[in-house]
Amino acid sequence: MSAHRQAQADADFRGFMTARAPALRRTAYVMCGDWHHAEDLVQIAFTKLYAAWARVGASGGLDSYLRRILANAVIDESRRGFRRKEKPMATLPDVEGRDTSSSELRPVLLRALASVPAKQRACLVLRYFDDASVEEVAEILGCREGTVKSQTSRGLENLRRALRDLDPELCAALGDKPTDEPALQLMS
Amino acid sequence: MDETHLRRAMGQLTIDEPQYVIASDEAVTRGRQARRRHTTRTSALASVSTVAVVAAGVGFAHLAWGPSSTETPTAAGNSMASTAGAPTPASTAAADDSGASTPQTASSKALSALYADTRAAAIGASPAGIDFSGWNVTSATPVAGGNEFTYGVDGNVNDGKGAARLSITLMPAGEPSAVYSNACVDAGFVDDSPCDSAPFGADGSTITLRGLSHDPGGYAQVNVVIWHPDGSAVIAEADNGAIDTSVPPTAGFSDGAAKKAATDLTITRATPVFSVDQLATIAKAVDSEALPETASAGPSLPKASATS
Repeated sequence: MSAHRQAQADADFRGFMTARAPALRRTAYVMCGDWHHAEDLVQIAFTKLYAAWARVGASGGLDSYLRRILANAVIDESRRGFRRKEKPMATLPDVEGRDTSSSELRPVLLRALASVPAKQRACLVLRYFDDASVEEVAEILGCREGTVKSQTSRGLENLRRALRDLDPELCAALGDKPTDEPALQLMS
Repeated sequence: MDETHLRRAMGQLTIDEPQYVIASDEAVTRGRQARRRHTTRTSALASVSTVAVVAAGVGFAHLAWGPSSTETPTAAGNSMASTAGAPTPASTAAADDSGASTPQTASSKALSALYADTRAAAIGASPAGIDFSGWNVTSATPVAGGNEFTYGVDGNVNDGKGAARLSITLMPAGEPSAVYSNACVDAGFVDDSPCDSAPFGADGSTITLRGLSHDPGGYAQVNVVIWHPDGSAVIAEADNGAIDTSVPPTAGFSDGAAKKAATDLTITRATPVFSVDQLATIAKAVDSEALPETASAGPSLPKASATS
């Protein structure tokens, strides 16, 4: 590769990273619950992307590639137990007079998400935070659409259960039904 | 909670997003280095699996098996590391990592033996007068999507003109797509540097020598790759900068400072300690004396599953 073409490729890569890194960091944060770790994951994802820039770019799947790296990193970490699945937190906030749209919700939801198995969590985040379709999630995670649906469904059940355990009133305030039936509906 | 509630709730999780300085230069520099190492798989999925583990902690386990060290070896994140007391050089060749929290497979070559063999081969093939006391960082990184580990010895060597990094990575058999048989076809690897690939033995093995490359920031590196048809390989790199080998042995994989220290280079000289020809001599010695035989012929590199 000539120096000129290399410089152009590097410039293209830097432009892409500048445009996409913030959104990817947000996705990483929702998956892992830690901004610093999210930055690490994003940096690694883009480093890998650079190494495969020509190949992946030619296939037109840059975003999917990045999100796949991210999701698999989170899943693999969980599998290998390199990081704590849940972060120790202070006591949960008082429930009286709560505003579920405020910062009160965030630590509870993050903690509940952290308790969801990693692959299910990845499905939830990609589906409901990234607004990816079932088909897109299947491509990102390298599995069948049926697997995405079942993992998402289980993830929703586990998330709902975790929220109820952590903070039933907040869960109810979010519209959860106080029954044993699944309150979270899977929309495929 | 329905889908609408969940989307809204998740959307609120990032409203306190801290400032973000995008390090694209670092990604370019490290990406170039990663591309040269040829551990990038040729399929996207496998690449993801590799980085997943790297994301979990770079894969560096800082050990102190060398005779000059006074540190106590530890399982820093990756339990491939020994937790036994620092063995003497004489004992490492025979000792298994019995102190590790997980057992070795029967067919595995003990990490301590790999360390000793790699170190002995490299020192024996190097010009006289080079100080290898700082060459005592080991890495054990799972291969993309598989159960095998790459194994490496990293650290700094010093010929009296400044310490600089020498890295030798052993790739296990069974991953033939992990390393190019002729790395010179990869423009990213060559990167406008001299590159030559030639047969190495009668079994189709190859050896690739890439001369001095220059990265932005003044980084320079020579690289030698010995590739075998069974997928096993020796990857040797010599840089013109030193890594920080003082990473606390208790540093975990989630410790950003430890990761950074273990992978960042501080430029210490104009060129690496070794020329590409000298590095080739070292790589050949490691290939001959340290790289485990293939699974069909003898022991293999340790299995990742032994640590999961």
